[in-house]
Amino acid sequence: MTAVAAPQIVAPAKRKTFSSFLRRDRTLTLTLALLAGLIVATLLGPLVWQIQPDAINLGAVLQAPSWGHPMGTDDTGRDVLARVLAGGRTSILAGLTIALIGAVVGCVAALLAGSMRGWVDTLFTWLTNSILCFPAILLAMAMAMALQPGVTAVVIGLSLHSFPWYMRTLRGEVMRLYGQDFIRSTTALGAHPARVLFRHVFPHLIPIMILQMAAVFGAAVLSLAALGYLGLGAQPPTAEWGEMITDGQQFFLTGQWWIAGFPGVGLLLAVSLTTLIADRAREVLDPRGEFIQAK
Amino acid sequence: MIRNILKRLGVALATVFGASVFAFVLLRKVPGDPARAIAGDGATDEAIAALRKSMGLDDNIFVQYGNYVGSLFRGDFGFSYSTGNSVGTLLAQRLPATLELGLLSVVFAIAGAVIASSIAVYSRRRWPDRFLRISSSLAMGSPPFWIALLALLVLSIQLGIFPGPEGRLSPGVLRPPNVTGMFTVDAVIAGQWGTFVNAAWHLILPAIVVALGPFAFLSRLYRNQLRGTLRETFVTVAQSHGLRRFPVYARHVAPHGLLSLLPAASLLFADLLAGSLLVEKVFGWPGIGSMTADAIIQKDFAVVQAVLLLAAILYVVVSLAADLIMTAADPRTRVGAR
Repeated sequence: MTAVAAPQIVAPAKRKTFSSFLRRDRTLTLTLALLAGLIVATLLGPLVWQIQPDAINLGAVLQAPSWGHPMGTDDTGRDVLARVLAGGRTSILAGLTIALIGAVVGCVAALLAGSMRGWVDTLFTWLTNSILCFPAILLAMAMAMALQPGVTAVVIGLSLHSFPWYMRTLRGEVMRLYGQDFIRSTTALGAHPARVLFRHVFPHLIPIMILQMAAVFGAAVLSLAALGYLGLGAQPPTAEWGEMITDGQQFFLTGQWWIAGFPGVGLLLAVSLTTLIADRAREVLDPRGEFIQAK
Repeated sequence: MIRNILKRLGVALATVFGASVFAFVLLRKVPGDPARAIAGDGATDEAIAALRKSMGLDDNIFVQYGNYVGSLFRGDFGFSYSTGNSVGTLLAQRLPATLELGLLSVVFAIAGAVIASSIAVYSRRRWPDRFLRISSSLAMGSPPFWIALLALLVLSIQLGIFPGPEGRLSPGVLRPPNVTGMFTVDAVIAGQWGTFVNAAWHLILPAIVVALGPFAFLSRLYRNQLRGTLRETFVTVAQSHGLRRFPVYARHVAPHGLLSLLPAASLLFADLLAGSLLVEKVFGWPGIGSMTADAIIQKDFAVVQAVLLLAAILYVVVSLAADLIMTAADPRTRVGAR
């Protein structure tokens, strides 16, 4: 018995609509371009802007933005632009890690729960419910306390809080798919359960997973900054947006707005742009609004 | 119906149980010996061993959990060694401030979302809707603690409309006699109008900042709901009966979507706790949030454990209540209904 052809989810026709889609949807194009610009700037920026983010220069303390320091300097004379770029890298990499860990764990859990049902499903549902009743930030704070304040603890804490979201949305989809004719006929033809799961169910989950990743990414970047702000995330001298805002807070109200101002703008841009894109993508891929929950 | 309620109650209890186990296990992993931290640096090993014994830290983890739950039911939340108070006392002192802030934020978020999205949908022009979409995206992406700083800088320091980060009352203003612990309410009860105005004046700005994220989330939801409702046949029927535009909107369209806000709003209520965690620190607001932030830095695990449990219970209770209200109000959401 030869295999039933795997469902083609990235059909060539879809790619064509994507480019024509971009041309029609100017807001989406703009937001995508801005976000791409931001990511490229934070990843490649340090190559161009070669001042070290933690180079202390007591001769140039608290300088206002100028050509030499486009975003000014902080209270130890560190260049704010260099720190914003370095901080962006910390945030974006951590956000991606959290989104990925959550996706992998959540997807495995959803496949197990959705295909095996019974007590496995009950167990996973109970577990995810129990985790989701804590606010993400509080859970990450507790994790930072139980381990050691720092990016690693926060990433673990936030991943722990992100996988249930994936699991919830994907589990429902897995169950829906198992009721569909094409899965039932594949099973009836004698396909191995594992083959059904990986060849026929899993590919359908990918678009949902990507959408969920966008939502998780934005929330994770924001939470990481929040933890950094409270002194539980990135530890000095690591540059991180939230921690920079804490640093600049005492100067913010006395006139040196640039130290806390620019990291805040970076954060605002990164998260708002992701939200906008995820939103727009959801309208296209999930018009009934069934799958993706952000938070 | 009764079975249904019992079932949901069971799920809620199981969830709280899971959450409490989780919080317990997580915080028993705190590095460093809590007994050593409490006893201080100068304590002898024997003293620490005795303290460990009295705290029950040498027992089996199941026994420890049992003792913990037992003392919870006796109203004993443990002892906060960094402040030298029992956690129960701390919570009683701090909870009203957070509750006051949280409740006003909920009001702001829901009222703001309903009004803003009604305007955006009712107006036939395009820009109100655009404005709402863009501003809500920005609000969802904005770090609350940073917005708090910005608001303080512009509205309080530059324009002087709101007070600075000085807590709940201006220095020199006496706190009203304690009834609920919420200063605005207590001031009204005592008839101290000057105090009421002062407390409200300190409350508004933090409440707006905390409400911003939930407002953005709810206004998007409600806007989509409204636009969906406008396409329903009952709206067409009402219009073809000759009703004017506003009555159709106010009587038929707007209330239709309100109920759907309830589950989302209940989720956000729990989220407000997280929001106030960040905003309280900026405004010097003496609530649960600033207490938790301090406790974590001090590794005061009894406080953190109590706050985790409180957050979990709050979440479960509020979502259970929303669930039950939804079931009572909307037969379509009943389990087993088709």
